[in-house]
Amino acid sequence: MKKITINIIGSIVLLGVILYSGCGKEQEKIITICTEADNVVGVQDLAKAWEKDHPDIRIEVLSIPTIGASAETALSELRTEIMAGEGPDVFLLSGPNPNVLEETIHLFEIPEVTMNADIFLPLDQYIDHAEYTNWEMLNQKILQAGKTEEGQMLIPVSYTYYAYVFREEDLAQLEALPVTWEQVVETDNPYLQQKLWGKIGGQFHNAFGKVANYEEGTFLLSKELLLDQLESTASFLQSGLRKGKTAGETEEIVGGNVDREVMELLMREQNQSHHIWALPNIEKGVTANICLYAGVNRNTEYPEEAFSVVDMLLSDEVQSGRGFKKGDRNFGTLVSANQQGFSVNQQSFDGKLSRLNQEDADTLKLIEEKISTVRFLSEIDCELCELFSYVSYGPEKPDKGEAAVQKTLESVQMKLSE
Amino acid sequence: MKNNFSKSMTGYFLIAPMMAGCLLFYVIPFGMVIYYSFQSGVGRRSTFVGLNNYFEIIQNELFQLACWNTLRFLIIGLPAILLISYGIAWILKKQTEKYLFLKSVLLLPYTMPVAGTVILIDVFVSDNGILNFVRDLAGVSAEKWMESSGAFWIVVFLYLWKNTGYSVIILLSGLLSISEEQYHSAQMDGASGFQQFRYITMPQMRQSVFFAVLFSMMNAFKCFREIFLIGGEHPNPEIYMLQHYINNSFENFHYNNLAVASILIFLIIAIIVGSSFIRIFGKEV
Repeated sequence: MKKITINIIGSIVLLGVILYSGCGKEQEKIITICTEADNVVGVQDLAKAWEKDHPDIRIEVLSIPTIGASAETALSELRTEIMAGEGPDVFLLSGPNPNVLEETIHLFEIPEVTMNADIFLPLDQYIDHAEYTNWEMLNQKILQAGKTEEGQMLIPVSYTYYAYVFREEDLAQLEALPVTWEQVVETDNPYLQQKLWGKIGGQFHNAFGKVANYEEGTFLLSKELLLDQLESTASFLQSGLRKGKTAGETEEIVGGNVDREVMELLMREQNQSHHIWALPNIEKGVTANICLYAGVNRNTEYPEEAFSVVDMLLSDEVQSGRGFKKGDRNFGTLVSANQQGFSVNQQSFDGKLSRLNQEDADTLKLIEEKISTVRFLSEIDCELCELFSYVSYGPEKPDKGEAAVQKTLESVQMKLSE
Repeated sequence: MKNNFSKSMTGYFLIAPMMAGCLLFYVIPFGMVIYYSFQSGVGRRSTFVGLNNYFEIIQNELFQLACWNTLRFLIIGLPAILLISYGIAWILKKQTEKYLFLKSVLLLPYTMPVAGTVILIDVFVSDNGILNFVRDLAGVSAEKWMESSGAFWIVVFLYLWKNTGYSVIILLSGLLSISEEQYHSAQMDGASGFQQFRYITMPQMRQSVFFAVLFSMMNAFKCFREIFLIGGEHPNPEIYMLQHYINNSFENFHYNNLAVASILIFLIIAIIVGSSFIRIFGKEV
């Protein structure tokens, strides 16, 4: 008995010594940024710039896959870590692309839903003491999309909308361009039909403005509205294909999501007149999608430092591509090069506008004003595009549209209510 | 006295590793789940919200749907599997020379991998499956079975098909443990078949029935794997179960909802198992 007691006490003492030996050493401060593979190069470059200003803190970049079984495993591990009150300090993520056939998996399937799940740190108090970015110079309309009643939970970094850029001389054939989605799908203009018929399906999700009330967990699109829009868009698809063939050649120089390349194109063609037309939604406005967003983990050990990384990311230096001069080289120059869409940093955006001709700059500003809804790209966008694709190209069945709409409504409603 | 103390210490020492594992992997996490259920958020910045999460989740329509479907599944599935298993076990008992072979056959669905079960279901109920083929032959249009209200019954059938064998084995072992002499004596005393069942079989089958109920319920919750593979994360509302809600709450970072739902499931199971235990062993206790 005595021997057993001595053994137990001995084991406890040994365990204590082992555990205590780890104490006393100063822990290295590490900020972990979780991002997708496409953003890693830019984030690493940003990390170098930030580390120069904060030599006692190291940044680790955690790259998460978005395709296949490895993505499922990695995301499941991350979710478990976050559930345990740990996880990365900063999230820098983009949503799914509804036009890509291959299904991608994302950490936050519907970011607006996660914004109400106590996962992100409200950043308002940190924004007030920002070091790198003049937050008043950020596009407030876009920024608003990341707010809840609790405050600024997510920071949109870049956004896009669907637009066409035509040269003025080609525009004569296009006549008046539609200002609502209904006018788009009912247009008789063969040139417009020619341009749009192949791309309209991929933009079906942008036909709508606000699609959900995320606080209450309700889907705002009714069955009737969806059926109407599906029918008219599908009929446009048919007539567009037919009539478009009869139209002559009208060369658009851009037809897709606006981004840095569009700006560069317009800069190169400064001496030409253009007509820039953004695809409208049913509310007569334009739906913008957030391509990249940042958030800080509510449970981060270093909230100020984690915010500071986001702050630097949005700075004029990083967003304009100039970077921060540290020693003999510039850091943070690669972020904007890899970033899709337009920057939320108005200063950087205005800087680019100043290099366009006045007319183009004014049109882009006007479109900015027309943006009526800003949405994070999410599973809902994918569901809407899939719905359109199924109804337009799926096997012919009686009541196919109604059944498909009902299924989509149920699925989206479930995703919002959970 | 000293010898007794030493013996009990050795006993505790021997079960210590298992108890430590149980404490580490079950008791502490369950304690954390209870803690989370009263918090908003997780980790160092979570805040105490009392019973708010409970009130919120009880009002959630999807949670209500999940509860109703799970309860409906248990209310239909459990008695059905017990009755069928009891019947099969009773028949098997009389075929003593064959039951070893039949037992293996009955266990076959239980040992079938989940993927195999799903493929089998697909063979029957997919758009081009056997059921639709038969409908086609009869001139009736094809049906999307897993999207119809029939999906629930397909899942119940799947559960019965897969798990009946397991319950049969439990009940059969109970039936075989009852001495034949008792039945012979009862017959000599003029007892009818029902009286034999009522006064000999039933009292001695309590433990077997209890374990059959327990394992059938566990298997009912395990059936979620098949439902998940057939219907996905957001299936037809008819087969949306509590595990869907819990699994999706995890994916959506609604950890507090997940905690509350887990505790409510625990309570449901505890009530069913507890009441079965009291009913079956009440007289002995």
